[in-house]
Amino acid sequence: MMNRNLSIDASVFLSALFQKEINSSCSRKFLQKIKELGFFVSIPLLTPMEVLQSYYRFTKNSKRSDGILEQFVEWNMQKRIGFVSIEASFFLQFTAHHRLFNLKTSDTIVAVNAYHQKTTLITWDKKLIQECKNKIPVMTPKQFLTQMHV
Amino acid sequence: MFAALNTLKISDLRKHTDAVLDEVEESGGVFVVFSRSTPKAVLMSYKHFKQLEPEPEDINLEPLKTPRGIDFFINPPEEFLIKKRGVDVVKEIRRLRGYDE
Repeated sequence: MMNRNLSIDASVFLSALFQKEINSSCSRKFLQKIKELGFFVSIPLLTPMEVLQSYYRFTKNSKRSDGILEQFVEWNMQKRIGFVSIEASFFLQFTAHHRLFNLKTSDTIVAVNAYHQKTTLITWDKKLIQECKNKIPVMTPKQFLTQMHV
Repeated sequence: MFAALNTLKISDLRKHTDAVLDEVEESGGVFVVFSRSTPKAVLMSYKHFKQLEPEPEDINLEPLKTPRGIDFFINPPEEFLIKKRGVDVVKEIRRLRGYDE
């Protein structure tokens, strides 16, 4: 039984913003579903940073890039998403658990956050899923929707 | 007749309040009330005043068109959508994270 807390990887947010991306509509459907079902999302601050950086790389439009940040903040104000700061207390968690995962630092931050917050990690990254499975609950948005019988 | 050139004296207003008010109402004009040779106030009929009030604003305001928060990501506004084809967002994120693929 899945709890009502999720961690979402940058690939899902970014996918929603690419109209022609193969998983774009599924990403948006997934976000719609978690909204309807009242899931709470917890992500390390690294995640919106990656989304913004990547979005800017494709658009070269800082105003629109700032607009993405604004919507993350708005979502946070709606109290349905929390940002986990990468500071001292997170560092303690990271220190305690990073050895569980054979990943690069950014991936490890995402995985340790999900592990510590006891959330299901949602990502399109099959390699990340492969490394995290058996350690934390992890799945793609598509698998999530299937589990929710959508 | 207390009003002259659309002005009223405060002394007339004090002494003949009802008559002055009747005159203001009947004329439908706007009168400047003077006290010690200085304009101090403006007097007008209630009817005239009502005509000056702005129309009440339409309270049926249109809902905000731009989706906010999670709704923004569910339904990104057209101008925020990236329409480039063939992008693999997983590869893009992995590239940012330093994977050499």
